[in-house]
Amino acid sequence: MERRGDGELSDADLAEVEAETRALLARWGEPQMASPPADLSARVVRRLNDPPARLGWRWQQLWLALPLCLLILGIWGLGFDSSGPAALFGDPATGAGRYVLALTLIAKPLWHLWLAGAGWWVAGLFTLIVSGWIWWRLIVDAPLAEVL
Amino acid sequence: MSDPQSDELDLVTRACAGDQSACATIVQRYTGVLYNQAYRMLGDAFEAEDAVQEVFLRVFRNLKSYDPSRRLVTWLLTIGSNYCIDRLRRRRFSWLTLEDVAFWLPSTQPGPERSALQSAQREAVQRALQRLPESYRGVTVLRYWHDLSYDEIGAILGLTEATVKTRLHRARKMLQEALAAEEELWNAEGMAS
Repeated sequence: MERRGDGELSDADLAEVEAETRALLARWGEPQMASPPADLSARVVRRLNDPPARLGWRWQQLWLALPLCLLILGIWGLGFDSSGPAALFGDPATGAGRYVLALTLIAKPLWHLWLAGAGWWVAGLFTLIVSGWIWWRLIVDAPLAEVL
Repeated sequence: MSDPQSDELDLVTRACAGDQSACATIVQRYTGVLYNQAYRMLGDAFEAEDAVQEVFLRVFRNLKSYDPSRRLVTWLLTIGSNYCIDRLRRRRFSWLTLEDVAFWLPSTQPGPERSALQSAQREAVQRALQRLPESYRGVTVLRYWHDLSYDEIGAILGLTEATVKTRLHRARKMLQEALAAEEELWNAEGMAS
């Protein structure tokens, strides 16, 4: 029987090709469900009960907070004065105020550096994002070996 | 006798509430289905085991988003299918190591078929299945190994019913050709030995 293919098959044709395929598989002893290893369920349950330890999440949060602090202190240092934030924590010459002053003084040149190259940074980032997106669309997201 | 759908819903509700025995029941009941899907899709027993564990982690992480109007098994197969496709995509972009190359060579490890059924015929079907492009392999496995309707396959893979039929139509032809090639090989080996 010559078939046009795809979804153009009539219900009767479809039933016939289905039966043919099932008969072909049956000749090869299929379909059979592949049996998982006997202990697989137990292993899955054990893994569900012991999720990977998420130790150090607070440290991760601290690492996120540090650039934010530098960002804010840098803006303050550039816009107002360097010792202002430090004064909030006591004498800028001693104790916590001293560390805040140090952070402000670290952040300021970083901001200067960023502002000096801002145009290039933005253009570079834009190019990176666009090329990444094109690469993703063309290569990774392409249909998986569609055979026509 | 309780309705299977309400039984599934009850299990999911209890699992969402943190009932460990309900989680264990879901795992025990559906490990086989997910393992079979992963094994057929990925073509490797060890990768399939790993896939089952990862899929169940995703399942229990997203259990609250389960839509009770769907059969639980189709929802699980959806997650399984997405995972396998992701894994196959990543496989294309991973660096080749000697272990990867060894994985493509004929395996000396006893797979589930060899150990449980000792059937070279079934290994031939598995090889034929691996020759199908992933998108066609997915519909074939769901249709013939999991016996799902076109509608359910469409829901799992996010395809229309017409696309499912089209892919199945092409997949059948390719599977026939692949099995014919296996048969030739089979006969040639039989003649040689």
